[in-house]
Amino acid sequence: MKTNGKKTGSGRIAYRKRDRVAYLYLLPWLIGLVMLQFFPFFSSLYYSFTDYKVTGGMNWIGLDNYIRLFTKDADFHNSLKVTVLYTLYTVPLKLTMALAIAMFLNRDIKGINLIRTLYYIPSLFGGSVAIAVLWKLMFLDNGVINAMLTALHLPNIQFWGDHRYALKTICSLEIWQFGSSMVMFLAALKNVPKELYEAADIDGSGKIAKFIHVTLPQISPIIFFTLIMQTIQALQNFTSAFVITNGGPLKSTYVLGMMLYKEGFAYFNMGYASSISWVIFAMIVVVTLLLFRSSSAWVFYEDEEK
Amino acid sequence: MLAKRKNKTVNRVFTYLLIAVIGLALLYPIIWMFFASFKTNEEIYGSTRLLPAGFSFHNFVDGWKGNGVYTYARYFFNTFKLVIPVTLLTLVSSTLAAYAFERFRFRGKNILFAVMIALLMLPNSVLMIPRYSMYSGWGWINTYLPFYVPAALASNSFFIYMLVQFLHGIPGELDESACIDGCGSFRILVQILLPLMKPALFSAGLFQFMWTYNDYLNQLIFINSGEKYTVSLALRMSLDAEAIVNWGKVMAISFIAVLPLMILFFAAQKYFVEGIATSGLKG
Amino acid sequence: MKKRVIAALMAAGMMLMMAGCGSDAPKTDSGTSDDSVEKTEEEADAGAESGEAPADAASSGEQVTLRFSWWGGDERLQATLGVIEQFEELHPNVKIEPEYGGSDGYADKLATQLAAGTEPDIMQIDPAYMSSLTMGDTDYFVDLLADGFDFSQFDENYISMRVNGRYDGRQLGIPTGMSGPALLLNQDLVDQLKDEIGFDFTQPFTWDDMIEWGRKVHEYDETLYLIEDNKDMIEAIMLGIYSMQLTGGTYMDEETGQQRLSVEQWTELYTMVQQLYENNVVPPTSYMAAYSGDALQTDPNWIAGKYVGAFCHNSLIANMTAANPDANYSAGNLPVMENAIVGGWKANCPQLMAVSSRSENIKEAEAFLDYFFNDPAAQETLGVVRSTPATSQGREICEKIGVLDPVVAQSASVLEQYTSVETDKLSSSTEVQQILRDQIEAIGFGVTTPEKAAEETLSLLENYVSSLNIQ
Repeated sequence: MKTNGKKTGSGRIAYRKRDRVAYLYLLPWLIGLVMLQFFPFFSSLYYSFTDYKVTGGMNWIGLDNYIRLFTKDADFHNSLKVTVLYTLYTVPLKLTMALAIAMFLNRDIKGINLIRTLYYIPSLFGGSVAIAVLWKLMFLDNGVINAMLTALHLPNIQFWGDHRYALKTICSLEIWQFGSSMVMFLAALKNVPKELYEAADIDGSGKIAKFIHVTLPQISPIIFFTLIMQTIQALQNFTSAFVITNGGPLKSTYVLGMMLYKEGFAYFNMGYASSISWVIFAMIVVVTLLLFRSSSAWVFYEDEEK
Repeated sequence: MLAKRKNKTVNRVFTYLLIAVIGLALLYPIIWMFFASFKTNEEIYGSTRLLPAGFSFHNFVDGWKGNGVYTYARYFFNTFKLVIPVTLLTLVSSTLAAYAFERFRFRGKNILFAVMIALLMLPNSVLMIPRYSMYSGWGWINTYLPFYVPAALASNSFFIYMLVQFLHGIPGELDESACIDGCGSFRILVQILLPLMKPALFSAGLFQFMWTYNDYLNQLIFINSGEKYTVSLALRMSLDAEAIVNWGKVMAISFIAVLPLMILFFAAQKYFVEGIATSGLKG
Repeated sequence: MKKRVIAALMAAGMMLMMAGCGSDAPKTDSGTSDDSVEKTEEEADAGAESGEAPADAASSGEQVTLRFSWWGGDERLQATLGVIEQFEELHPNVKIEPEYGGSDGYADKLATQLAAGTEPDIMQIDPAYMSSLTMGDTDYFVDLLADGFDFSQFDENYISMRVNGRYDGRQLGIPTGMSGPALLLNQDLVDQLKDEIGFDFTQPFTWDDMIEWGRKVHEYDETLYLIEDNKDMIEAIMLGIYSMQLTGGTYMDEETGQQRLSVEQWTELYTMVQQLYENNVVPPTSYMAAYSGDALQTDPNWIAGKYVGAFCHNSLIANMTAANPDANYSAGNLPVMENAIVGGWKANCPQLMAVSSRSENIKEAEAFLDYFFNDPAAQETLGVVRSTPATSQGREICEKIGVLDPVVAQSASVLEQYTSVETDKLSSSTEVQQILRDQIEAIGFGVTTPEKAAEETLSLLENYVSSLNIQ
């Protein structure tokens, strides 16, 4: 799970002696962990083995919720598929887009700060309802996008009504808000020592070679971090699907997060909802573990340098 | 020589052109949204025209007035009262925790690190009820404590992990060599690392500011009385589906709501992704 | 049961028709919790006194704070705050803290509060939600009937329905308004197409007539549709009415959880739905996907006057007509099949007001609701911000001050000619709604057949019932 423990490069030696002090720095977080996090976390685990309904009543039912989820609930299988698709569409595209734009904007020209800020504006609105409304309006059957398609002599698309497109249209909204990843990449790019590029120049490396051999390894910790975070977020996210399509049409945008939310707060089945959330949790843990496993192969850390 | 310079100029013009084209494509929805705030519903639906028939600011004026009980001035005041402490507290507590995780070796580190990451992975919906029960038992409901205290206790692992990753990028030799003789670890953090972490801290601060600002559900659940409402709550109230929706006004209010964020980002653009002085960083 | 409902709406309709027969103002019997009906003008001094009846603490001057939560837009907010202020003036020792907000997330917050025991003293609740809340083991709400709340202004037949808050003889909520299904017509388009298509919505007509008219309308001009409806409204209104006409009852027996409809009957229901889509009576599901739920009026084609009519709740009429204010509107008859067992519609009150059983100041909370519902001053302030009032006096006042929409009134009187069935608490739950809407959507997209949909519906409904452990 850990990314840093095994490296015992010279840089860490001085800190070895200060074992105890670390707890002091960690104290606020530890207090928060015990005081604020444990109870809700384990409550929800407990709920997942009960038939807890918000409308009253809680009985221990063992694994029934999980059994029902995997063997009986057709919605769950659909939602699982939709969630995986959603994650596979949004995460790689969002990261690629963020990285490409960050690379593009990582130059010293006049007004570059202003330009970066402008590029970030779409992300400022976050999960705002207005943006969801805006997206909905733009992709309506007679909305702006279809008007553009018509102007280009392309056939119109029912972005919200056609179950083949609804999920992708929602993903486009997520990808469009690539700003926070872009900011992270920009900050990381700034940290790449100029000497490395100069050295590469002397070696006569081309732009692509520099990107692959200098830039990518240097910012790989941040790419890794962003990848993990975006994946976790994508597997849980449901806001835009909730506001725009409410899971439809034909449940093609009914992601797990939304199913969980509906079970918990529309149907009051908090026990069942908790079991869904622990399944999502398990999924995320597995994916994250795999990513961490893979990280030693491609994530480069400063102190590993020979 | 001249050809080279000319080449450079062409290059530069080309770069700006490209930036403009991409920027326009990215910002088009926002531009459209801005002009939509001057439009009537009839103009918004089914029309591809960008510019409105007329520029009247009454949607903005009406929007600012809010629901007639409090204006947006009040909501902005509340929002800042909520968001600014949360942002600062998050930065302090997360930096301390990240420092501990990244620069120290201590017993139980691996497990605690795993726990820290794991806390990000459980979807929020099911945590709401137990969390609410707990806070209400402590009398925190209808105060901003459900926001302040978790921030002070670094409860959002995202920021810890983010800062850990950035600290990774700063070579350990640096803090040592700069403070060779008996420099306390706290001084290393404050004098050496913090200045180097500035871009990361700025990003983290901006994210936390923005997310807290835009967050709806938590504010809805924990805040009850209208006098403590934030922009995010007021905005959602203005959009209530039961009323007849005037989309132009919705867009106008959304713009008013996002305006402070824009101002903040423009004001902070200098620090936005300000690089650390990379020269000399690698000894 | 059916008679009660018709009587209720009849009363409503009559009230709406006859402007101001003020003498009907309820005579209050002393000793009940009622205090405010009589105090109209002279309340300033009488206020403190009359406050005593329901609330002992009120007179003792002990300071009491009540929390009152609701959702809604700005207009409702202003009116409700106005009523609170009026009440506080009459009862200086009672402070009411308003907790208002958008409808978005309101239910989540309420659920969270109920689970933690911190719900407000007085709550506005969605009736579908209320059904679910009363199905559990916990008694969250005060039985207002047992507490002697003054319901004399409400029609007993109306208020005794479950959807209006009466559960097993206990009045757990008070309906804020009256509502039922409506066929809202764009009168301009009706007049224009009348001769061409040959429809007449002022006369009785059958589902087959309607489908035939719809086909013709769309054939006549393919930008036009007879009815604007999405899957949610088809479920809430058309499917409900059709099944009641077919069987005389709702989908399930709430006591035993027994299914009332056979596979064949479900197939017939879904065949009707299929015909709506195949004959272009309603716009395609894929088109309406962007305008789901109550959002019919946001469809640009509605705004542009491309629909002859729409099936909606009559509490939505004001929104629908405001979206396209240039057109003239009327309320048409509802389709009735041949050999229909009942007229078949269900009352649908938009919200309920309830008092928390865990409140420390139940008496004061009841006194406030009493003022809220029964006092003419409050009724005037509130107007129709929570749809057409459910009290006779409230409707008169609205009529007098001219806030009652004539089309809404007309749709209420249209309903008088049909008998109705009270909905059962299982059929009206959000889960069952979802099951049916999913099937309707699948039929609209042509990915399932009525036969398959029928079978699947039955199996899903049986699953749902078994998860409730009714027996």
